[in-house]
Amino acid sequence: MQTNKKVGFGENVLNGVITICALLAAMMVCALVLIIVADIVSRNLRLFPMPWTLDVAEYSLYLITFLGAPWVLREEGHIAVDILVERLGPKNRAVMEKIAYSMAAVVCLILFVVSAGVCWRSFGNGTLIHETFVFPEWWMLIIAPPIFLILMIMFIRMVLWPDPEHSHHSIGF
Amino acid sequence: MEWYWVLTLLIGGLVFCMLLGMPVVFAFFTVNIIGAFIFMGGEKGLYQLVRSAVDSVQTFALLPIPLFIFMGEIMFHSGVAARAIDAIDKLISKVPGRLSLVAVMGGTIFSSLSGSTIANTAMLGSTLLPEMYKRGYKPEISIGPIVAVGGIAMLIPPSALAVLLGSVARIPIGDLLVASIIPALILAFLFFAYIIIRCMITPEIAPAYDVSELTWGERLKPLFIYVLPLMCIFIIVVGSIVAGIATPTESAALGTVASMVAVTAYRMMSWKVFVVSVKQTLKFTVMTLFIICGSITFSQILAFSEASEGLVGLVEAAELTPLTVILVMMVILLFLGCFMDQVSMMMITMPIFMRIVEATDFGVGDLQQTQVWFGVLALMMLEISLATPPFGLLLFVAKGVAPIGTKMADVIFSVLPFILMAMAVAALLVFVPSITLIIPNLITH
Repeated sequence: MQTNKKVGFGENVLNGVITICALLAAMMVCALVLIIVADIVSRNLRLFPMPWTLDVAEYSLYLITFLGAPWVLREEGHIAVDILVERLGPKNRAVMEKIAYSMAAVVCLILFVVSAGVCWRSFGNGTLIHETFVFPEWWMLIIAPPIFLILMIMFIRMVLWPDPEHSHHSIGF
Repeated sequence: MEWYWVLTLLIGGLVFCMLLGMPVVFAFFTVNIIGAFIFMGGEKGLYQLVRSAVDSVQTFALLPIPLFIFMGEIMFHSGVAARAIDAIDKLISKVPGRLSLVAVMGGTIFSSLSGSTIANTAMLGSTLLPEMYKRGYKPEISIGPIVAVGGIAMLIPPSALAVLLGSVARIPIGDLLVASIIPALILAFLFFAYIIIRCMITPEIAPAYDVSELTWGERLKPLFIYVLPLMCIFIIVVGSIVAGIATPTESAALGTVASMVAVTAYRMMSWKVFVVSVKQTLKFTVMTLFIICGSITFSQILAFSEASEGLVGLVEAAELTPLTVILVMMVILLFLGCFMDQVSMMMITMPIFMRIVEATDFGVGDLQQTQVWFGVLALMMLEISLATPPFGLLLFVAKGVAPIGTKMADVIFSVLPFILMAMAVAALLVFVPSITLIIPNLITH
């Protein structure tokens, strides 16, 4: 009972973090539209310069992608090729999914360790980004390790407690 | 290791991971971790992999992707697009295969407002298919046009996939966007003609029915209210690129704002529409950009291990005619499209194909013109592969929105003639490349 409560609490925290990250990413999508339009208007009407638009847009694309990745996994939105898996019986299918998700969890663990290493090195070297804004590179790099960690936990969860309602979603443009 | 073993290891490993059911982005990461470790210097290679993943999406050229998708989602969820279809429905009176023609016209118009192929097919399928079935239309003339015209969204700007292709293959995005317009219109015209001729030969597949008699005023009024104002959005997006007022990225932002203004002016904007549109945009955007993060190192490994050089060298040594080279590349795209998504297909093939395009003289013009021409052809192939049996994505979307009882075989047979027409247009582009270059040349001059 105690364990279940802990799992429930942990899951709530994880879901909360995933939702907050996705909300931030969604707000950035909206902000991007406003910033780009403001830039076009201000440039053509010669109101005020916004030289930082390009850099901010590029950083936002990176942040949107990483912050949104766990939410998209939760929503089963990461595209998967299901032609083989769909043709298997429920038992074999479950085995295949366990193998695939275990491999994905290992991949995320490696990416977590390596990205943390990259971030730590950048912090240690004091590497700076010299663009419109000058700031330490690790400010950007630090997003990746926790995201890979969250993804790893999600895959482990999918291996240990598979969702019976789970279905592969093939989505695209 | 010989380059062909490297290529087998990388592509074989990728296909294996994909077939296991791993999300494709993690399939790419798996292969890239192994490849980076072996071919890019062990630990150093892994550090490079993470840095490339982080840097890959920090590219201004990718910005139109979320914006074009946002445009389509707003139009779709607000119901403005459905009203535009309704207006076209009123415009077309008693002609053979009336509802199928509405699908082609409506789909072409909606694709000029939407950057999303799926939104296009889902919208047309859910609005027109039930009505078609109620009127006794047979599957061969009802599902086919909807799936086929859904693919046109990939060609007519705004097209998120064209932006991605331009970015991955380093083709000028503005030129690529406008170069696809004429082939897409030829395709739409062919679909239109086919439906009329087919329904004249076998009228029973689309039984004629009484359309309520409307005056010309009643027919044209909805067109002026619900279709023509929306065309302003297309003009803003394409016009601002052609006139040089905005870059493709900026035109995408202008188009998004114009879509929101239009939907608000029609009093169809609500908090719910906005939230659903943002959610869908986020989902498609993250899915796409995360695949770029995962797969960017793939092309670097191909280059480091000299696998792409080896393959290009093989093509050169084989002394194939340019026509054979282009045919082989098209067939590979079609084959991959049978089981792979469009983004993965691009990430795997384009680093190699673009090297081959650079090394081969197709007699199209200068290198940039050749790249644009090849880009349009590749988009055509991607569009066809979306509807290619047995696993084309649009086939499943169409089946999903079709009335219960529709079999996959019905969907496939219905789509086949349209695939053949699309292939005919692709062949036309191979033999008459200037078709793709008309608008880009106009802009240049």
